[in-house]
Amino acid sequence: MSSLVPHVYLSELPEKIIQEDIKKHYKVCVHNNSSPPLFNGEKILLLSKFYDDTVKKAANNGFNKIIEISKGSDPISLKSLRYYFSREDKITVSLLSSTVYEHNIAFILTELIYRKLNFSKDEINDIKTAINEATLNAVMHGNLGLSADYKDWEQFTEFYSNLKDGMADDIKSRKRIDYFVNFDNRQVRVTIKDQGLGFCTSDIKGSKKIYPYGRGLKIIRDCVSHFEFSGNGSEITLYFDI
Amino acid sequence: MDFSHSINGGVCKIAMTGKLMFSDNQRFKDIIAILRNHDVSSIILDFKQVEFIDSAGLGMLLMAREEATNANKELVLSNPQGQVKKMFEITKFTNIFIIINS
Repeated sequence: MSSLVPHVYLSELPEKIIQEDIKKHYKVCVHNNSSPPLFNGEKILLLSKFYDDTVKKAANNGFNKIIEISKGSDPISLKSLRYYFSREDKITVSLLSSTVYEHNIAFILTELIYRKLNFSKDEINDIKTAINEATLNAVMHGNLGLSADYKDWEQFTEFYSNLKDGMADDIKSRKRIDYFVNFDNRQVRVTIKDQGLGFCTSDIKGSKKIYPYGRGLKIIRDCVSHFEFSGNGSEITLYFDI
Repeated sequence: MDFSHSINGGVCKIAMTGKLMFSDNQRFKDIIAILRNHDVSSIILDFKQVEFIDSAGLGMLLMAREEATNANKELVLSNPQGQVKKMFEITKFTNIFIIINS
């Protein structure tokens, strides 16, 4: 098998009509929960829960190999993630909003980063904290389009109820969060990208009033070496130096 | 997050364990209920066994503070460690809350 023949590895074969569509871009395989081989120079996308539209977009972005990392009813196989993180320096993980919401993704990614680079305990806490805050923003404000402006417990309860409605919505909960993790000697770079409308990053301003919301970016700023927005604010890159 | 509480001489002590994150809001609602329903003058939220807090958890503490103030009660935070202590410092909770180490 040539290393650069584009392949998509799914946990089960999709409907025939979708298969035909994917075959235009990829060779379709079923991986039976064993990890497909990796070759140097491949651009790999790890995917929770396969959907055909995601594969088509990935084809346009030049991924050589797409691997669905769902296992049975579990949308993310930690074993698979550990395998790929231990072998690759550039990893893209694409997860459904619902998967991100139900699992502690920041903790999982931080564990994988820690296995690769020897950050101190305090640095690891900072990485976990910053990825978690960026993830909260990506899911709630980005993909679900919710505005967190609750001022008391009643308003917070309403916000939570709107979030649950969003997660029950087939279209919103299938929007993805993409994590691009890039290891480079003594630095790890994590880009978190949502599929929301973005926002005007120059509008970010602090407030002297004490509200129960709006601390995420302040926290991120204090936990990273530096960070930057791109893609209309729907993408944030966090840099962590050892 | 989980918690246990005890009342002694007008003071309610709530000892939390685990993480205080957005996903813990339904459990934190029980703390809000204690705050509303118990006839005490002070509530101490103890963080000795809390390993992680996020911005939503910090927001929940501010809403609890508001509830306490409205009910004429004092809300005190105690024994933050590690990441939680750092979060309190970054967000200047040290200026907003009474934080004690016991």
